[in-house]
Amino acid sequence: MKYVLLFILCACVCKLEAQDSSRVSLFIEAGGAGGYGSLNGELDFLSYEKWTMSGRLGLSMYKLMDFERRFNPELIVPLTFSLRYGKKHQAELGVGPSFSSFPVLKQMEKQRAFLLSANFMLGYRYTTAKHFFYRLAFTPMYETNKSFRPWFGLAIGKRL
Amino acid sequence: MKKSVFFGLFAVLLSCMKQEYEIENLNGGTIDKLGHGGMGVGDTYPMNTAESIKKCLSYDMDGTEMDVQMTKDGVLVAFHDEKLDSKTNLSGFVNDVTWAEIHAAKYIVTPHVQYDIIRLDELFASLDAKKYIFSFDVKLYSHGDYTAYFDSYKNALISLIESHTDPAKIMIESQDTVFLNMIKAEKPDYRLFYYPASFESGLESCVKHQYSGITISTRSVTKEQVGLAHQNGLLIVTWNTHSKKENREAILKNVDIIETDKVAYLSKALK
Repeated sequence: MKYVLLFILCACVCKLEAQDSSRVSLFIEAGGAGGYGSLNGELDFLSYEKWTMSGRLGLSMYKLMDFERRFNPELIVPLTFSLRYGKKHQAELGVGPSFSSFPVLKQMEKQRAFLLSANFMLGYRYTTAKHFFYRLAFTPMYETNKSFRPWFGLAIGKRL
Repeated sequence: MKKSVFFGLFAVLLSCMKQEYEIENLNGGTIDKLGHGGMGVGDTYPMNTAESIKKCLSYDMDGTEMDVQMTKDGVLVAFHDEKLDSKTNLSGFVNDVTWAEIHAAKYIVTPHVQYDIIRLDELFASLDAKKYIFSFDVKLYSHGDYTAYFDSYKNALISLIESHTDPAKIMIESQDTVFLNMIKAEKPDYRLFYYPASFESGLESCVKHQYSGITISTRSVTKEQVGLAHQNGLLIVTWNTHSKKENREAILKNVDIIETDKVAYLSKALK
């Protein structure tokens, strides 16, 4: 229950803070929770002294065309909640789900499969005076069907 | 400035022009274009999956190679590696587990997308299988009694070929002459290809056992050796054609069949 309350609190803060554009960042990540790469938006929704909590929503697509060479993209949506400590140099810890949807053949019938994975992040972020940031992180995933995947991500972004 | 633009455009035009090949081989001057496990090594679909094979056949290809293994309960499936551990969430040999277990397994090569291992009878039932050339790369990985295993594998393979495909369009590739000879004893008309350690040993074995040809990496065979095989009535099948350059080289060697990793390119190059 306390987690639900915490989530609601964060969501309320998020709504208020969303009006402050300086807390919004856009970044691209090679590797990371999106798989091979993703485009992402990030919102810092809670800050206290050197601590910052943020939420990230991304989008990744491996292929636009399916095995019949028809438009039918593979979609991956990583969502990560993270906690950072520091100002210019930050340590970052995060966790969240990733959703993916992709065309497959099941018993030779064309279908769309959906997978849910858990993504984790432990990284270092450097922010420049002009609000560009760079992050290198260990981003392992735990995927459906019990597969643990060690993974890494390199992100480059800018606070708007 | 005008001249350099003109020459630039001319160079682009030349690079876009389709190269014509004059092929001299045992296949009537044409090369059969096969995928390598479907779309090949570099594609994001894992090799031998239904998705990779379907995508390969959606191009103007003659068919595809696939790696064939047998489960503990005698079902033939398409899977390349010696053990399941390398690409799936199962472990051990394919021959250690039943179809029910394999059916629940997933390829976990790529993050966030997972594919099934396919059984070949299901695959062929869903395709117009008699229309295509299929090359079965026989992977004989098992423990224990090889005689019984070879015998069950041979029976399963013959049953699959007879019930779902045009046997004249099937190629059977193996590194094991004992297995190939077992097939030959029962089905002398089947096209059998030996997959040797070197061209010389392949030529010797194929002549001795009267196989249809040699399956060999394009890097391990020269144009002259292809000619020598042809003089002995043997077809040459090449693989390891990962790049456009390697595909072009294989064509220029006058091989008979190419199992390519560049499906889109080869389908256009040999149209």
